[in-house]
Amino acid sequence: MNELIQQAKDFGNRLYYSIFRHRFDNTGLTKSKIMFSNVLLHIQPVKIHKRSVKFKTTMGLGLITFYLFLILSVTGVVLMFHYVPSTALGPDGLPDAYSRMLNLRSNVFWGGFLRNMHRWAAHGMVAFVALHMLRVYLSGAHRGGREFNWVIGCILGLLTVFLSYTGYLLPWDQLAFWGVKVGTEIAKLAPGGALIRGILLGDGDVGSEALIRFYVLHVAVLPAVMGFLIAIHFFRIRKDGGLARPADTSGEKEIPDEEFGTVKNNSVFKTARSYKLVEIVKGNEPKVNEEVDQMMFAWPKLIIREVLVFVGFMVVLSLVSVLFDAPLEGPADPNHPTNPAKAPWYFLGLQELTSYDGFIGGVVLPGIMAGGVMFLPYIEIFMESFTKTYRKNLPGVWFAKERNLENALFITLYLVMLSLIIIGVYFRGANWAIEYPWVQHVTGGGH
Amino acid sequence: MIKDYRILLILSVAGFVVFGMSMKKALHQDYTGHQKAYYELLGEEFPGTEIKQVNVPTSSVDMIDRCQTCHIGASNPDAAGFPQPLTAHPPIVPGMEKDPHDFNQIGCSVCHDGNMRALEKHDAHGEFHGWIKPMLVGKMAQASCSRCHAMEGGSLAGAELYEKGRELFLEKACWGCHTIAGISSSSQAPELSNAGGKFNYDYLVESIMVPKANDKNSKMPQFDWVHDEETVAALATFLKGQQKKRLRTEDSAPIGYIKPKSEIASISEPSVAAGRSLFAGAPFEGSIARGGCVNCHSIRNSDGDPAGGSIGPELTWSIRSRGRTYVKEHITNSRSHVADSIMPTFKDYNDAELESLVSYLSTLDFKLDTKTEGHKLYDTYCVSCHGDELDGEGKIATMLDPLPRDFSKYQFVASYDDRFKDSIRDGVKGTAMPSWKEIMTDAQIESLIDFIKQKTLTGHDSFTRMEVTLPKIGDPERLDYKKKGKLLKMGDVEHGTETFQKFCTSCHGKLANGKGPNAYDLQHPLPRNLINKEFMNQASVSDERLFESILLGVAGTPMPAHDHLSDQTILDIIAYIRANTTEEAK
Amino acid sequence: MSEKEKEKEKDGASRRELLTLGSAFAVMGVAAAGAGGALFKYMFPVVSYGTPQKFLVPVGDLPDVGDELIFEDMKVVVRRQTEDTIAAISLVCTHLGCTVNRVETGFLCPCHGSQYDSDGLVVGGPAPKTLRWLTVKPVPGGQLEIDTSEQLPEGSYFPIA
Repeated sequence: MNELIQQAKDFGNRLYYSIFRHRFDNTGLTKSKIMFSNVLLHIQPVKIHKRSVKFKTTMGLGLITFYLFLILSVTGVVLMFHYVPSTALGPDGLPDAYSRMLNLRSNVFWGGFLRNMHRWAAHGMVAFVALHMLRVYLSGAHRGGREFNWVIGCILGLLTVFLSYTGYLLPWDQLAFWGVKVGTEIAKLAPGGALIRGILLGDGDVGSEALIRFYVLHVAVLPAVMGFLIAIHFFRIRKDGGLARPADTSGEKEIPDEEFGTVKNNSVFKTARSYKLVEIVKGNEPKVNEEVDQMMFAWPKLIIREVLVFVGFMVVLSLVSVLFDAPLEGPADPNHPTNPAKAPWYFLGLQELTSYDGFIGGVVLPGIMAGGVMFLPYIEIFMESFTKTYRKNLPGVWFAKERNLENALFITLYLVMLSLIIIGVYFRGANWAIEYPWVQHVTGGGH
Repeated sequence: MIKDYRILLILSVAGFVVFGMSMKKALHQDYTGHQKAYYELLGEEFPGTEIKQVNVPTSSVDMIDRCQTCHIGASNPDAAGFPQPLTAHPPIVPGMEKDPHDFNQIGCSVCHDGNMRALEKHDAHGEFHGWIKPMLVGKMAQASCSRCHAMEGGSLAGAELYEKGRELFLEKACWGCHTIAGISSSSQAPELSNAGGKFNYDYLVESIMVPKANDKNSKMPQFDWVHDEETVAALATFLKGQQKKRLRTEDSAPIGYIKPKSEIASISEPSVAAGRSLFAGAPFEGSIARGGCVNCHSIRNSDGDPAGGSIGPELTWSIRSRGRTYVKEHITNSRSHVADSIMPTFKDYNDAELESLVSYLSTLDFKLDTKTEGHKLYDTYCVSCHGDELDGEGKIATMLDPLPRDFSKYQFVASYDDRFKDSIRDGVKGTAMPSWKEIMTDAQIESLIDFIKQKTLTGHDSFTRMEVTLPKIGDPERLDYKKKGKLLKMGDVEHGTETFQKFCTSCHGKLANGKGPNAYDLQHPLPRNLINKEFMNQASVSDERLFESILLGVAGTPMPAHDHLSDQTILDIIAYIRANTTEEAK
Repeated sequence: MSEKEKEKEKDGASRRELLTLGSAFAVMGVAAAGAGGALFKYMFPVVSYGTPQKFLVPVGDLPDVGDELIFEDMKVVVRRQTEDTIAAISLVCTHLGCTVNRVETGFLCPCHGSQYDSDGLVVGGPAPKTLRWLTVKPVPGGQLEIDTSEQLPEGSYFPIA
């Protein structure tokens, strides 16, 4: 009998270790093993700086952006089961793609909710990318060896906007059709824009070809490129030594050890805490023997905090998706423009600018802005290399005094874009005339 | 650490609750309740909710119709007294024991439109922004009969509202301007052959009731009968039924006529009775008379009260003042005499119909007593165009081009004495002003003028206008002062054109038709149409009058003085204006 | 505080931690399982865009007693047994799903030669089972609903009303 129990225990052990390969106890070794023996967790270091888990360091913005990417991937794949990128008209005069939207809203169980979630998550992702960027800049985290990662982040941001934009067309309703139409008109203004527009639309105008191209870009090409770049973005964060932090963090308030779980010390070194996992590497890779007192195990504190952000964000997003239905208007009709025809909100700033001057507002300014923002860290490096006074490499410091000018300019840029978008969304009526949202208008009826 | 775990627990519970909310929303939709209520009313056991979908086969793909998920009792006669949405559909074809429309085969949206895939009321009835075909409620659905049935061959049982609309289209003279293939051919207003395919019902109703609602520049008159909801509904239903796209080809269309379509009256022998029918848009010998003048024009009965529409001029005296030929020509082509008339061209009328109309109009013989005083004369003859206040804003004035004279501009009344009298007596050609000499005696005209003068001139200082005479060409006594005493030559058309394009086009337009860019902002009266041949070639519009009007302007109108122009230049302009209306248009 | 008490307190704290964490993940797990179930329902067809599984026959359209009526679209034969009872038999061969033909002796499958008698019992060929007999259910409005998805034993006759 005992032998049998022993055999069963043995079997159980072998089963367990074949999956987990480590125990669940409080020793440092286990905590390390958990992190690096799990492919999902290994993207994160075994030991992290204590300030990394503090809310004010990142506000979880980048993490939420990544979660949104995951949520969008899952809901997107699920929605694909009920979608056809076809503009072919049924006898009831409805394009196939559009009737699928009506199906999702009526006879597909939970379909409305999933579509709402996908829609709001898509809008949310554009917003969170912008917020994440703002956080990174204001805390100086784009410096200290992370300059190139900032460029990758900017590319990811542009990809996010493009992903959202390609998805905007898919419901094939009036909102989608005219929103995309206006957007591609802006593209026309750029030098070579007609070429890009032609490649995107596959036709002289937004139509069935554009729908299939936007669909393929939206469900395959862009997510794949994006996933690839996200991997690079994350890998570089690790290789750049984790989250940006000031050169000296000794003055910062430490998180007490109890806060991140107990560690049973079974090492031969009873006093010194070491970080000897990567002693052979050089450069600005994870710091070795520096600030060891400020370091802590990522398991379980960091992981729990990440799960916390995920669950919290899911609650908010689900609630929004339950309460607010994703917009759907009449089916796309190229003969009856909506008035005003507005692009998606994140392009409304651009549309507002183009209403003043097509070329300057639609190409020059946004070009300077996108390029300028993308190469901001290099402009700073340039200044540091060629002048003796410009020294503003202060990674991980929120609102550093030395960077007041830069921060102010960056915030101003955001505020200008934001107000242009607000004007575009709420203050523009028929024929792009100024209109006040609190004034009710009598419409002439019709379509 | 425990703090984090606690927050996590709270958030998890919150997430669970939100998930539950989304489930509740997905599981308990409107139709669940409706179906339960239905079986409860029937007193039967509830078999569980079900989406009732009808796949309606048409010539191409299947239409998906889910309306009966909520309207579950549509084809159950036992559900007749049930509340909406559970009630049975009322019979479509009257008098048939078994209705040929089987909702299990054709669904609901084939006739009633709406968003047939949706399962939520607001959504399903197509009441959201941009939905192309909002639900056609009740009898409005008769607009859809033509999607399957051939409507050309006869009148369809159960499509009474549609049929009434068709009759109204002919009787209310809509056909005069609008084309519907097979019914009318006119190019003065948008074609309506596919009106139902293009516009939704509410849009059609609105366009009939307030033509300017969707198109500010619409010339369509606002008719008096638009307050009659039934008439508008019938017309809108008929127009909604004009759809080019059909669900069945014409040869596979089910017939289902009960009686032959009411025919359009054919009039081959002129008669007063036929004329009256045409004028009134009333049936003639049991068939629809294609007319309806009365919708725009009024006539005066023997008791002196005008009856009819207030869009065109009153026709009581038309034959006496204009003559039969003029009236006939005006009906078939309104612009043959009045260049800017907006009256439809009824070119489809045959000779007998025209003769009948004219004959009927000549029976109208209302006339005022010879001793009637000016005030009463004005109120009878003039007021509908020139207005109660003599300001040229009578009730039909907006439909006239050129606009009726505004007498409240006293300078004008004070300036042109003879012209005033002549205009009343002989009419003003090329405009809506008829000649009154057959209707009023000279004495009456005098008293009318006295009335107008007394009404407009009292309270104003006297106004004397400068006397100008047309300079004679080559007269050494009358040199061109502005050009240092040069001899005047014949007007030069080319130089005149140049000058006209420079100084006159902002109001009179590049074509000199009085429709320049500023014309619409000007005060009454609007710039003259200078290529209105009838007007320009009448005796009273002499070169002298043109010269005077250009040099000094026209008192009481926006036409300013042009004393900066030399005499020779004015003569050139006159030559240009004359060239437009005498030679064939270039 | 003695060493032991400290240890005890620590144990209690870690037990509380484990409990909280465990219940949090349990709740998340239930929600995730629910979402998974909802996704199953999301994928499952509620309506059919092709031939529907159920169809309606007005009582007035039924054949005379002893006669049959074949609904080719639905692959169903409706047989009226008596004045008040009818049955519906599927015409889908139980072998590989071809549509069987009605012949004098019963049903004959054109694909692999399965033979059935007029009650759908197999009398020859590769067919493994009797032809499916279907449910006939009166629904409001004087109609009968025939459900082609079910399988009943042979000889299942249903009242008309």
